[in-house]
Amino acid sequence: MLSSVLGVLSKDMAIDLGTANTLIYVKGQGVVLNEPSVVAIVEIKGKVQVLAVGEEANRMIGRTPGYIRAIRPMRSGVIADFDVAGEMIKHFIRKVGNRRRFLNPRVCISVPSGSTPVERRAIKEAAMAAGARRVFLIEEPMAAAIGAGLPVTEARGSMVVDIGGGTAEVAVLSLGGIVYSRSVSVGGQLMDETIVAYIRRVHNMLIGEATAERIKKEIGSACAPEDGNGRTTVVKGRDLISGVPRELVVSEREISESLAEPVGALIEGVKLALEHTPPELAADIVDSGIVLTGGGSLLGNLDLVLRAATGVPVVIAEHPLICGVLGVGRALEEMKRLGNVLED
Amino acid sequence: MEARPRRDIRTHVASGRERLERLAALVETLPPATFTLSRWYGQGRGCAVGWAAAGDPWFQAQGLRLEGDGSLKDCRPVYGEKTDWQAVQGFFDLSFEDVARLFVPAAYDGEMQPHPRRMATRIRRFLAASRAAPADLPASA
Ligand SMILES: Nc1ncnc2c1ncn2[C@@H]1O[C@H](COP(=O)(O)OP(=O)(O)OP(=O)(O)O)[C@@H](O)[C@H]1O
Ligand SMILES: [Mg+2]
Repeated sequence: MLSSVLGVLSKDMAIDLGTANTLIYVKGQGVVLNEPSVVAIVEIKGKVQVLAVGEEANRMIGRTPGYIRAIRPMRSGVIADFDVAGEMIKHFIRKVGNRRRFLNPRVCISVPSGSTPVERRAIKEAAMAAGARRVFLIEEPMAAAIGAGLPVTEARGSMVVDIGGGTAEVAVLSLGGIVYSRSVSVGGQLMDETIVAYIRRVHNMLIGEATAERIKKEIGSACAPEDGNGRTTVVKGRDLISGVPRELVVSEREISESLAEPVGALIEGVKLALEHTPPELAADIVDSGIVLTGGGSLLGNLDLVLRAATGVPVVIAEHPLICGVLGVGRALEEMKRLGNVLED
Repeated sequence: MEARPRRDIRTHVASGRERLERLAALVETLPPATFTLSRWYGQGRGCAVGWAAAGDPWFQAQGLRLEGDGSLKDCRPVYGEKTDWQAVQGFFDLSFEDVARLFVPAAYDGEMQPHPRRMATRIRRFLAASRAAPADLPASA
């Protein structure tokens, strides 16, 4: 009785806990929170204290005294730091909750398909501690596929490749279940690091990861331009010999060369997944194509390169960066129809 | 690669020339798939200097080290107080021009992954051409 009254007053929350970004979606309101999955902490006498979370923590990075550390509690698709991850979830749920006067919401959170029972329990407990009335979990590839509008409950095979900040998850789905999934440790962050390492050796210049990410978004490409050097961008960094700030022009050709390796690993992962897919489902995938989601799918020409390498049509989901959380939201809304994809 | 006898490891301070000869021999043995000019070292790939600094006892005994090798973005060769290209120049006793002639993509038609043997040949030609020069003095640390 009480819980049904609460149910009327409260709104459900869908959460995508990503390596790079955390998103919260509320029915009727859309995506109400989209912040980097970053926590700024300080250690005082061995005790960890959280200073800031999300956007605010991100602003502190590199601008704060040395004893403040920035932590990304989610790393390569797993929860690297339980306590900090818990604090982050609590903070985000409360932030949305307070602003919207939520009352003990039902919360659904997506988790990496490779996460352990212990990790899943930790996530649930953090959400309960933040005031959730009930917590459901859904596996990330499933959420991404639902968000991309794939017919996950039908007796057809679909393939989704979610390229996030930490990992790329390749999954084959059918009849509401994940038939096959494979995690490739190539995500946006590895691409950024590859660019930093490249500029370091080839141009003798030090740049930050944020700069590398900007370069990637501006002129990054999964293949070299047909001819010439393609687009260019100006990069500021620190010269490794003189130690002074310097500017440099880098080209699309260079960046595509530096990204060749992560892109190659991604292609290998997708090919292996196709090889491991039961033949009938593989035939469905060849028909309807591979769907790319996650921020990494926005890397220039990645769809073309994947298509060329696999011979299978490739499409990018409509909203790759919010696809995951939209899927979590739909799973929660359509619990009757999609219920069996949720884990209670 | 074969393990080197122990006496070979505790060795004299080799000249820049000898170090380059050793580098040519090392790079020749690298499987092409592990060779790249796009970074010093990391994720199972590296350039000649990166591999020498990362795992070759002879080079390590000569004082060449790899720092930050747990991280793709921080990984760099170090020699004495010098890092990155300055470490390479110092360790092999080369000018900046020579370094550019031997180790950067532009020297290999812009190729990021030239065949390791191509670099070995390039180094040996360079050594043959500079044989006349009095470079057989111990390198300065
Ligand atoms: N235009 C773009 N080109 C290339 N990469 C991009 C682009 N836009 C965003 N990205 C990258 O996408 C990544 C973030 O994607 P996303 O938000 O899907 O990850 P996440 O869900 O937080 O991570 P994960 O799913 O691994 O936990 C970042 O690394 C970002 O740099
Ligand atoms: Mg994600």
